[in-house]
Amino acid sequence: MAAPCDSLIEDFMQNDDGTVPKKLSQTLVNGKISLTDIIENLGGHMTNTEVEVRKKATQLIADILHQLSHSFLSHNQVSLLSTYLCEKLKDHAFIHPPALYGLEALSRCDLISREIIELICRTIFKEVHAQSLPQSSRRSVYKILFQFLTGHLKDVQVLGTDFVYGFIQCMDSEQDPRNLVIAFTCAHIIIQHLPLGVFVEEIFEVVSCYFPIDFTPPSNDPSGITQEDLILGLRKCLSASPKFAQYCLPLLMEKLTSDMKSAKIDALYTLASCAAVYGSEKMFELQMSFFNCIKKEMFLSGDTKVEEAAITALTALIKTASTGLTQSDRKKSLEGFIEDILNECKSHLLQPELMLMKSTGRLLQAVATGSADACSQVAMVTIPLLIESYNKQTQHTPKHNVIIVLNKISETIGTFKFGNQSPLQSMKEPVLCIYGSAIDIDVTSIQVLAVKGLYLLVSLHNECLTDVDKTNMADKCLNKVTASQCETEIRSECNILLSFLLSTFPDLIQPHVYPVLFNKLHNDCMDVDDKTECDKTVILNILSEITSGLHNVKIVTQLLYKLLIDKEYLDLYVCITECLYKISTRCTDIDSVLYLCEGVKLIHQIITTHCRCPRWYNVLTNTAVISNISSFLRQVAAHWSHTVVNDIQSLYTESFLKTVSCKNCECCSIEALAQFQSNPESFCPLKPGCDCVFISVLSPIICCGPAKLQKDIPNIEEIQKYLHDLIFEPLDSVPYEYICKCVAGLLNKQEQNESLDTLLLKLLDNLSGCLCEKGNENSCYGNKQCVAALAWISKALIMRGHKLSEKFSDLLVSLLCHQVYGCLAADGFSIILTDNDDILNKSMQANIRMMYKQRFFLENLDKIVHNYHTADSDVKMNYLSALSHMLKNTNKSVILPELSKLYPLLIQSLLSNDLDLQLVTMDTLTDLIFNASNVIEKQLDSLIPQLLKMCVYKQSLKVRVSALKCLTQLTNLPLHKLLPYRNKVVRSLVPVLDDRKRLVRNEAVIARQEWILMDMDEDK
Amino acid sequence: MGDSLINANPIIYEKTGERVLEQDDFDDNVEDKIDNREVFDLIRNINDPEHPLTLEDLNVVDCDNVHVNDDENSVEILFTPTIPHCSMATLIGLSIRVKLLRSLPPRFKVDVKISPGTHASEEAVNKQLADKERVAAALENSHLLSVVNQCLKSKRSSG
Repeated sequence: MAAPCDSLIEDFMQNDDGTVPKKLSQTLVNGKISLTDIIENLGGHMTNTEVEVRKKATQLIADILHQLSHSFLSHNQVSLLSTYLCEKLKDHAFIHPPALYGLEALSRCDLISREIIELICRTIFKEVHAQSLPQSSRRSVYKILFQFLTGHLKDVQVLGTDFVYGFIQCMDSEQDPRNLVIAFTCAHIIIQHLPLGVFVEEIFEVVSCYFPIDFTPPSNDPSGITQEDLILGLRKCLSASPKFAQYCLPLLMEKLTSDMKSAKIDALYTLASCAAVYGSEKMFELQMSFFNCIKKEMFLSGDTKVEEAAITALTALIKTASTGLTQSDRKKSLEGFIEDILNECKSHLLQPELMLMKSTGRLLQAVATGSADACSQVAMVTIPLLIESYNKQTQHTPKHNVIIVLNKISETIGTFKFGNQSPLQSMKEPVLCIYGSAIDIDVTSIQVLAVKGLYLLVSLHNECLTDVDKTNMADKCLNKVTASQCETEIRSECNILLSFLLSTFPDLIQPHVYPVLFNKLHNDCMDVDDKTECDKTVILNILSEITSGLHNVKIVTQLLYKLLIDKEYLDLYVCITECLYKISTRCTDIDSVLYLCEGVKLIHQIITTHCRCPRWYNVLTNTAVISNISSFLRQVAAHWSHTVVNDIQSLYTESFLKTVSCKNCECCSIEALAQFQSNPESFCPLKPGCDCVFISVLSPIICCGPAKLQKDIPNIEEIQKYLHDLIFEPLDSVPYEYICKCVAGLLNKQEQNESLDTLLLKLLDNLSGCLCEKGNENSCYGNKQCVAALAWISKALIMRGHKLSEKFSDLLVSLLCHQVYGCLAADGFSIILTDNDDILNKSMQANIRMMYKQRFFLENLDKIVHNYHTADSDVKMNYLSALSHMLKNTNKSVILPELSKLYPLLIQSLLSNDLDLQLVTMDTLTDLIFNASNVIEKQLDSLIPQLLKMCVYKQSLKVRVSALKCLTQLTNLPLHKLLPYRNKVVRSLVPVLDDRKRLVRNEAVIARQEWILMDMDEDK
Repeated sequence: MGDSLINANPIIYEKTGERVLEQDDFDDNVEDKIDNREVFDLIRNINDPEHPLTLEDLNVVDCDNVHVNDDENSVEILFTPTIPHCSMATLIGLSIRVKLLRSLPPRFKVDVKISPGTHASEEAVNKQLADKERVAAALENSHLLSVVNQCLKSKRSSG
């Protein structure tokens, strides 16, 4: 046994064979040799007079240790090896790196004793001069300490301030970000859990010297450490202990007044973290000075990021001051602080026409957000001022500003629970009065704000409004929304408020709202010449927006059902069905869904009995109506209870299968009946003819349930057979798509067994027979459509990851080179990869395999790229557009690794004459500039001239606009890559400034400006 | 900088809405003339040199004081400083000039002037702004150029 061990060691020592540690550790784990064998064999090398040899031997031990698991070594072995490696630390400094590396492995062992931990720490602190070690060895030191601090904190605590001092020595002047991330974590634990003793200031100095962190990771940085990691690590340290307050707060104050934007932001967020930990007592003295800095930033910086940071800091300061309230004498602190703040702000609130009004509003909101007490105090002082200010103003803009601030305060009040002590209680009257008057000012933005304000008031916890207040509100809104000239923005805001009132206080509000609206619906419009009344479509729209909650749904759906069967309302069918659908989107509880199920049955009845009256038929098959109805059915089907499923499903499937004879139409002319020539008297949607369009209504009913229940649907097999036959019939494109979707929806969830495979193979056979047969121009009409069916079936199978899916998609890919079907096959890629709202999605409980799009992309990319190169020039376009569909719909992270393969094709697409393709390609490029700048960077030579050419592309302004947008996007790439092209771009864009289309000129101005200004300093 | 502001809390004016796009704007066959509104849109979002606000917010520029004649290649802009002694007037005028220099086709002759009677040294400023060589010389000064660029930087690119 000793022989192989011996020769392996020699291999390592002489030939640097890197596999030796692994081999040796394996024999160790197998028990073929023991640790002592290895050490004994190494003995000679360990005591060799050459430092180089000793280093190498130590390296071998360390490497072996890193191969072993945490629990492999026994307690004694850990102790022995640790003591031995600690001895090595006293040897030549040259040997420190491997010794530390070995200790790093040992520090992870489970069976390490307190004494050994102490020994390792003390030896490192005493013998190792961290600053002269290479980065990886310093990293080992931090890792050892980190291991002890996290795994054996109690043992480390015994070392007390010695450990603290040792750590300070180690960390001092560390510069490498990879090490700093670990060092900050260690420091954080030390500050929180070890006695700092006399070293408080030292350890603060050693970490705070990095503040504020300014670090740009090198490109292609494998460590992946970001500036954010370091900032957060350091912030944790600075805010770890209240003992730092006296040192840290002055430091933050200094950085707050700095000119560097990033430093300011960092200081503000750090202040926020520190305030929470330091406590009110420590913050008290400086809080007003901090406030003044924050105020300055909010009033003057005009930068949203700085302002966000300032708001966070201010809220944290107030929160901290509020926690001081438990001690009675501290009460002064919060109250006094806020009083000072309010004194600074009061004058601005009385001058709402000036710039600082809005900033003041945001500032006060930040204060009020701090705590319930703060909120109450701010509200008590500011609301009367705002009321005064509003009443004094005659101009619109200042009033507008007052309401903005008032809404901010109300909003903040809403975030706290005040019980009966709501600060609004005493001021409710004048506030309501302001909103009431503002709602009548003839300025849209003010009205919108006023309605929002009312909503805030009524939605407050414990809102303290009377019933009269609420009904007044409802009346006012109702008057607004039903007025004919009401702006959409106001209407939608009023609808939100009405909806809230109706669902929260149904008994109180309903009698004020629904009768009025219903009346307007029933009114005979014909003789009303009153221009102030809005028309019925608007009323239906309002109903759809404001109705939610069981009681309201019941009332409104009953009315809608009546309208649905009323011939007088056929003209409004689009709106009625839309209203029904919109209401259904808000119903998920069993009881409301039951009301909706009545509608499902009613719709069935209407279709089957009225579809032979041309008037009804034309309304029911209107694209918008049929889409609304299907959406409604889908919505109900997603939530209906299992008790009604079977009834409804058999109701629908039976009437679709059986030939239902319909009432003879008495109201229409004979000529109009001609459209039903194939089936003049009965409803038969599963036979080729005018009724196929109703398959759109069947799909939601039979494709909605869980996969395992699909086989239980009454008559499902027969229906499926009919559907599959319809695929091969020449039909209009709209009903044909409905059929494809239904087929796909069913196949996607059909139980996997032999009969499914047979079924699929038969379909594939028929499709390829149909698509591959040569010539015969006449049959082309039907055949062409089969390409879409092929795409839909492929989609259904690819989504579920069916083993036969590839056969279908291969057929689709092979069609790309076809003269006639090629471009349709390319569109098939869009069908496969685009998400659908109506079928094959989550709410229809489709069978969706994870990441199917990504898989599809990767499986077909090579085929497409390869076939593109070998294809005839007249069909090459098809490959490019298939590719563009794939790019548009696939996750960018999957595309990126393939990009070098794709890029030439993208450029080809830009050169093509196909407008849509060019546009899609530019969209993709614009995306890629963001996500794959490193690939685009290398291609600027070909890309920029092409884009510049497209900026003057005569035929289409869309191309010009897209090209200019793409050029603008390019300015996000690293400056040094762009500078060589700058003059050319800026010069070439001059003629585009005189384009005949304004939209193009606008984009040209933006692009040119970005290229001119791109080297401007970001900071400051 | 807080103490040295020339006008610490100026009046804010309401912004005009975005230009409403019409069917013709998307029609390749219709030629769109450059009009007052289009040029106003170019300058209304220039940043004020001392406040985080635009020239439109402060009513320094408004659409009624922009006169464009596309056929005669002329543009005239009158701007109104917030206070009569505003020392920023020249800088604002220069910013407008530079913005239009970069954004309008070179065929236009552009005049940028102070609205009559709104500034103490109206004539002197107008003269400076009308002097092509002085404008060119000013832009050679890298510090001045960076201040102007700061005003022209769009909110979008300043992130």
